[in-house]
Amino acid sequence: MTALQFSSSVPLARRQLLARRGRTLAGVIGIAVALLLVLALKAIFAGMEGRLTAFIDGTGADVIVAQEGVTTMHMTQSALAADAMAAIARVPGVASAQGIIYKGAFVETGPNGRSGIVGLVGGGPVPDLVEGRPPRPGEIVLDRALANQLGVDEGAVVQVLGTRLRVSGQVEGTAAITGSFAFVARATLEQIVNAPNVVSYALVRARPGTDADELAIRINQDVTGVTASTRASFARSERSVVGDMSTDIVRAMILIGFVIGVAVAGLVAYSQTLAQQRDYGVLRALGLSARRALSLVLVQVATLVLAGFVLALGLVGLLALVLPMLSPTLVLSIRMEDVLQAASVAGAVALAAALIPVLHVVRVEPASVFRRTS
Amino acid sequence: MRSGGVPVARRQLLAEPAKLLVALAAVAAAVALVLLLSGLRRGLGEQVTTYLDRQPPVLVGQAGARDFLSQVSVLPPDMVAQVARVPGVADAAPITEGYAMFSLHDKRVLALLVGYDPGRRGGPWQLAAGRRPASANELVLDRVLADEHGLSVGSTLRFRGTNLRIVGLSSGTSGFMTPLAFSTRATANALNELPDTATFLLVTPERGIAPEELVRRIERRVSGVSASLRDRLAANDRDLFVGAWSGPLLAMVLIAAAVAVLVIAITVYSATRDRSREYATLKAIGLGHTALLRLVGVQAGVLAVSGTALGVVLAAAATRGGTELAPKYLIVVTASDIAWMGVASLLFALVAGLAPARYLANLDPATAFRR
Amino acid sequence: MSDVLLTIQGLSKIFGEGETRVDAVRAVDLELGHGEIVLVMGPSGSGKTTLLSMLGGLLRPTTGEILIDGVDIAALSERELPSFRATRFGFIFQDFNLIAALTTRENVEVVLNLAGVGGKMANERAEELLVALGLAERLDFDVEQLSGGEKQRVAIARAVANRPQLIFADEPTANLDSAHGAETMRLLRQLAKDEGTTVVIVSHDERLREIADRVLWLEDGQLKRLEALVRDPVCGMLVDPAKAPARLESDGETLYFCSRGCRKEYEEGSF
Repeated sequence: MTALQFSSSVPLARRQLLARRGRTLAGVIGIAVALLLVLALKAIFAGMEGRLTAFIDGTGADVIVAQEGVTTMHMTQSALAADAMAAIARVPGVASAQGIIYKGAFVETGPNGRSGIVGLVGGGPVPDLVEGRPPRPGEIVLDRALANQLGVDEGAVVQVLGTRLRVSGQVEGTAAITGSFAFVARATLEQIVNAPNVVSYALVRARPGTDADELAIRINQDVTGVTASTRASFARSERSVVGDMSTDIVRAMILIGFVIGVAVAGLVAYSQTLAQQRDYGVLRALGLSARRALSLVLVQVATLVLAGFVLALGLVGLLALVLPMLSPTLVLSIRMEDVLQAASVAGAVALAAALIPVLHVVRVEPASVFRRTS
Repeated sequence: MRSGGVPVARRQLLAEPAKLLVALAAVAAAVALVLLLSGLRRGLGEQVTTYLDRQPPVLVGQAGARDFLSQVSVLPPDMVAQVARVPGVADAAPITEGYAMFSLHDKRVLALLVGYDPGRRGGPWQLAAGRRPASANELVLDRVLADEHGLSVGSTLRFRGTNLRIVGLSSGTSGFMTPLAFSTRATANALNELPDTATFLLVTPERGIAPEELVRRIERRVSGVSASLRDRLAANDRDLFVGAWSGPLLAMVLIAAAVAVLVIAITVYSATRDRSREYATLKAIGLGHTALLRLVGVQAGVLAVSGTALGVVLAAAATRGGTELAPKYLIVVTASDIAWMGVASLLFALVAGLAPARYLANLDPATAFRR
Repeated sequence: MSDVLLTIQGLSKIFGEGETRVDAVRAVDLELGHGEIVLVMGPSGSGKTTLLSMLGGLLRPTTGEILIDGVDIAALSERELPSFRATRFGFIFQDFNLIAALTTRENVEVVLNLAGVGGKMANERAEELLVALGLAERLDFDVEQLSGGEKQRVAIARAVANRPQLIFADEPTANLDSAHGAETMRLLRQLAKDEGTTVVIVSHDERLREIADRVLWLEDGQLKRLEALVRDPVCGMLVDPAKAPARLESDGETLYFCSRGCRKEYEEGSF
């Protein structure tokens, strides 16, 4: 008899799982929650990554030029030498080069008022405004999440490093738990940081027909003291900051999620098997082979873990939907690769968890059926 | 059960040691997770202020400077001089500090690069090897960070287009996201293309001058600067750095608590279901409903408390192991954390104990007579 | 009886060794014919269950052969045994041992599945058997909802589902009231006579002697013909004359007692 034939008959594994619905459900939830640890954390980091590059993605620049060795923006300092802008503009294939200043700064409503941290961009393109207009000198555009947090609206005055700025508009989608972006005119930021003529990055557009990769290479060759990256590779590098910083924590969480998952799945499968020990004995007496008894246990554990995995996916999807409503800076982004990683954790959980009841079932003697229940 | 009687609850728990162990492991893992996460958060908070904690009580930055780490502050040379002249200032040492995003082994490593004037305040306080930076492009790097990336005295690090030569390794300066590196102020300024500037002044008050008073005086006499108490800046750094993680951390802690409750509930419930016959017998021979519930409650409580105890041990071991394996992480588990976990564990037990309560209430003692 | 189905030669089972050694079954020889009903009786701990387990292929004998149609099941591998059990044997247990997670119908269907019959065929066969046993109304019930008598009928349906050559019944009437007990006895007898199934029953229930073709007595792991045993005139227990702990010559007849206590009672004239 093949396994297929068997499964087309009485669905033993399913029946056994459903016989103790409460326990099965608790097990599924437990496994889901353990996997959720891994999935949610990854989704939080992935969401952060997306927000980090929201500005870069929206610049429309083909190539981003920074101080030599610099390929990131967040928590990074970059200063281009005074003559660098002119040198970049002279590189063949460059249509335009726009210098921007990027600084970390506090936006506050007053010396003792509410405050929030921003990546302040001076002189760059402003993403699509959801309200108001781009900043003129003495004005600032904030992310809506920060504006709400500060309780300010269009026309309100905020302070950055002692300079009073009028809020001229709001953008959306740049707020992460580590801060949001804010936009001012370049002259304004130069004045704020007491540093005229020092730009952080140059946003370069290529002439039609010029390849971005090609142009980046050319700028790197022709201009000293700078590093040029295509927008895509700059964004990739920016995202990798989050990845590089969070690797250890993610690893630890995967380990803990794995341990908890194994323990919960193992516990449920084991207590399930223990409760059905007599049934296993009877089935073995009636002619169930040891191998099939094992596969019965494995199918149960696998089903449990699979259901837990699906539930975890659903839960993280729900979190991704609900959390941003509660806190606009907390964005969850569910990526295929992270789902696959969670799936592999789930697979490992199933394998490890199955060991416990399997060892038990192997020891069930068919002859035990004649023992009286007591 | 009454003390001195047959310890039914204990006997039943111990009847299936494998199950008990697995349940304890799961509860312990959940508890350890909570402790480690909050310990990591606290450790992060302590590490964030490693530098500030060693500095004089007053710092002066650009007007509007509210924290030390997250924002830019630029003080032109004349302001530095003005602050130094304020009565009550014993010393005002300029530094230029800022995040440095190093690229090591193709990984981004964040550090705090402090440029200071040799011979003045603001430099490394303890060297594990080598010497302090004296001239251009010399660097002192945190020892743990250097070890992690195979760097030593004499190594060269390329950063922002400049080759920095490591002349010393500092100790007591490690941290996740904020290990320290030191150079001369001139080197740091050159990297920023902002010669002769400073980001902050480390101000030592004259004897007998209260830091609060000095802060007021400086703000009154010098325009365009913000003077702050060191501890205030440190608190802001901590809030900003650590506070950002509160949301995700809370989510993780809630998930872990749910795991603990669930595991205890599964264990107690399945133990009760599997022994329904025994419970029916106990009921038949005269054990009251309250006593039955207490029996289950005791089991849940024992699981919760011993799981938590095991979790604390696990967390302590992980903390120690973590310090050995990855010294850049500081995990600080406090007694109050543990006490809170203890309280929470009793709550877990209470919630989990409810799982089999309804089942027990409906259990018919007559089933004891049925085959 | 007809030709021989099962032959046992020199069957022994020893548990443990040294001081803990127990000879549960000692050198048992036995032949069973097709359609024969054999009742094995004996005191608790006499080795009945061990014998039944070995006959049913659930327990390996220490020595000896169990030949069924010329196949020595004691020599079958662990891989071969389960399907042999599924197709050749049927089991009836004292506690019914129905699978709680399955419905009435599924409890029967599952053994058909185990013997390689699946899908609709198994479904119909199970239904047919259960209907014949008067359980038409209970097909999709959880077995927990059935009465003891109903459970036993499901167990019987399950035992006969694969048309086994041999049915092993362990105390089949122990958990049933007298009416249901009688019903079970009738069903077992019908099975043996109509289908030619050999039935081995292990029981303490004296009523089962009525349907048995042969009654065997197992004591201390050894089989005895019941005719060779005598009854203690005091307590009514069956006693092996060769091993009786007490005896008494009375009116030229020898009386055998289970114990000295019984003989004393007899002598004191309370009988």
